[in-house]
Amino acid sequence: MNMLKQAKIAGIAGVLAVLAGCAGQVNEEAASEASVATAGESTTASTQASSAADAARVTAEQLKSEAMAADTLFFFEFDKSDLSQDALDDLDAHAKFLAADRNAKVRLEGHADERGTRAYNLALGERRSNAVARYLVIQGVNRSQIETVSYGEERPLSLVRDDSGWSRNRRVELIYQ
Amino acid sequence: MRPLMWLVLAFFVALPARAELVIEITRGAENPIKIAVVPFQVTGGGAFDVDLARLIESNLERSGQFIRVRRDTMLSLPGPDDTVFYRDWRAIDSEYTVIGSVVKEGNELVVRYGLHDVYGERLLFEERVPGAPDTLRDIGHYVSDRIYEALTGLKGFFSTRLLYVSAERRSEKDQTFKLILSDADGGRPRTVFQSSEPILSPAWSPDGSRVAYMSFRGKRAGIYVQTLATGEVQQVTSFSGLNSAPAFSPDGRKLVMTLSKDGNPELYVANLRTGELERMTNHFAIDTEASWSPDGRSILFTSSRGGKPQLYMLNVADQSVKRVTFDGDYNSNGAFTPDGESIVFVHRTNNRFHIARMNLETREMQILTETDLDESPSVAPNGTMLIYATSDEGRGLLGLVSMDGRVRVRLPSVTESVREPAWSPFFN
Amino acid sequence: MHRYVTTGAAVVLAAASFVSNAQEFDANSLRQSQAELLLQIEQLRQETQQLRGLLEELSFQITEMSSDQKDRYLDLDERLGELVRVQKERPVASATDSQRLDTPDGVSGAEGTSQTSQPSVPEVSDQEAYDTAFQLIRERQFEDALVAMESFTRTYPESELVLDAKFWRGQVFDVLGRDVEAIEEFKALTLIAPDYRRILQVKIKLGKLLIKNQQVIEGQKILEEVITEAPESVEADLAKRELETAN
Repeated sequence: MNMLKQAKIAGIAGVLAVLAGCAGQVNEEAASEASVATAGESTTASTQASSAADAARVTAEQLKSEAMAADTLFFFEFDKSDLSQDALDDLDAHAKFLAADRNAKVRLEGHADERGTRAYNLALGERRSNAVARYLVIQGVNRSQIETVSYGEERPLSLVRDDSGWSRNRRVELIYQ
Repeated sequence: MRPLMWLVLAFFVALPARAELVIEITRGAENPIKIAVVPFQVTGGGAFDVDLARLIESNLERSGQFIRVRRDTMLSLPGPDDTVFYRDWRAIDSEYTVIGSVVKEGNELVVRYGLHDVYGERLLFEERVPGAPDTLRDIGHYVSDRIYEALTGLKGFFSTRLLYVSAERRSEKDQTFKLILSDADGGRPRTVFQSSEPILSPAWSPDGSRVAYMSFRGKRAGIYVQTLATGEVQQVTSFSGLNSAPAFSPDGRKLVMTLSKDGNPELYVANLRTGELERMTNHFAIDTEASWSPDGRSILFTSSRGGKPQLYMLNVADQSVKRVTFDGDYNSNGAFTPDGESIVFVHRTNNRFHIARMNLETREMQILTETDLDESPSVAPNGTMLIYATSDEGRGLLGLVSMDGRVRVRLPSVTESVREPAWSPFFN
Repeated sequence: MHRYVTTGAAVVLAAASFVSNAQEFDANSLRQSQAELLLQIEQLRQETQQLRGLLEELSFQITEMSSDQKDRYLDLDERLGELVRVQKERPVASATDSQRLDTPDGVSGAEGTSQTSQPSVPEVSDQEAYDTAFQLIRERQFEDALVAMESFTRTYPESELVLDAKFWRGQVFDVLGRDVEAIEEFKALTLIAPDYRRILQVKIKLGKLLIKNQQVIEGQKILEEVITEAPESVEADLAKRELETAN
């Protein structure tokens, strides 16, 4: 459990670093385009533009950091694909960020526990990732920003063979690409 | 309908896989036939890596209908030209005795064997089988089939093959999946296809020449049909979403499968020649794990349309659907027996998953296995046994069980975790 | 279920009116209501699936039960017939005791019959025996009539009057307020003799009794059968009246 937690934190940190890099680049490019476009115009206009860009950057970064702080694992009941209230709160944070940054993309990997048959569980994993995807789309995310895949019961997170392990394996993993 | 894309993706050479399945009998039949298989005399020099007598007695014993007479209790080890003293065999309680030899001539060889009825004191039949050292296992399986058929009246399954999936896990995202082809006794395992992504639902074509399965190429799932002799791979589908659980029609021309390209997992039938795709079900719940009836008229499948996974029967002609299972809250992954009269499937009882069999006419149901997480039942072409996947301490193994539940045999793998077995049809 | 749909529609309408008030357009609350709608649809789907599952199970059980019931009746009938054959073959102590009106109760199965005293051989014609039994009904000696009718059906299993005997047993049970037995008798008639000349009367009685005994749907079904099978009959009018009062 502890190791898993550490691995997850490390993973999130890694994703954060990569995203921070990308986002930084995009913003710089946008800023330089803006400066080219406004060249020759009055200085007041350019000052206004850059302060607006600043404000946008601040909210974008704020949204991003909120998204990165949100959980990326969403758990389900046996043979169910309903999202929990906890999951919705975290998904809202991801949705706000994804809606604000159309370049950001996520992959949703649906999983099931080992109980039940494999092909059925593959379908169940897909239902779970689709449930998350549908919620994100309603919250303003573009469908093209989302990729879904199901691994069924083939990639368990926990090898513990009781309710504690199984409940961790019935999940959707949200992974920023 | 959009025509499918036909691709020849790659050639996979059959590689010898490391682990062999070891047979372990956990429970036998009530009154097995006692049979003594005398070690085959080898003439013409050299030794072979196959002990024919061992192979034959293990084969027969695995059917549950025979029990071997141990070699160290035999009073003599005659060859085909020696006189058979039936009294000696009666003394050690053998009902039948097999006596044979292997004669090597250059690169070729001839196996000669006879089946003796100890109490009737007569030779039932004798046969010569020509071959080569590398076909000795095939000859052993052939001889097993002949003896089995002579004594039970049923066609033997020893020359058939198995397909299964093995998985080696290093971590959640670092695994090696292999599709393995082996003899019916688990011998000669060969890797048919290997991937770091999951391989699921291998299914035999009715003539045994091709295999359909689900795998990922890149990050996307697809259904592939591979010709075993050449390794040629045909991509049948790779739509977004699910492409899973393929099964051949009895004439081998069509493939039923699960696709979710239109939003929900539905059954589709693909014509393998024209690529035409026909949608068979339409329900927002899960429809999957289709299996064709031997007469081709019905398709058995799992659906959660009634809230819980249950088996339903689809009439291929009019696409009407009828529920089949009513006992318990989880019945899935069904398959027909070769006579089409019964189905076998996964049934949950007391929170454990077992293999059950049900007669479609009388609706009589019997639970055949007693381990946990039993799944993927696949019936032998002679209808006497089925192979299924189970697990022990998290490691997947394969098991055989007779259709009356009386005989159980485990096929534990030495190293890897194995699952998703599929029993081949007869090859002749 | 209806409630969900209405709320859903209301949410959509609310969302639409929001959009038309363009100035005050609030994307967040629109999303919020869409999310609620999504969850409600999901709930609806699950409920539909559960209902479907339940319906599948119930209709399966009904099919099983009615075929079981038929089997059980046929089995009983066969065993009773067998018993009568055995009785006919055995010698009789008292030849006049053919009606066996003195036996305490009707026979309900093989166990009961094995205890019955001396079997009887019919000495009178079936019509005479039937008339004797029917006379008891006229005299309002209902308990005796039941025994006599039952005894008649066992003694003359091949007689055409057996159906009438069963019919009157049903009527007598009804008069005595023994609804369960009356239902059993009438139901048996609908199963074994769908062409019986009094079948419409049987069905009216059966329908009424079933409705009275909380088997409303089945009872209504039988009354509706009467209406569709013989729309011009007196019974059809009766059935309509019963259905109206039942609703």
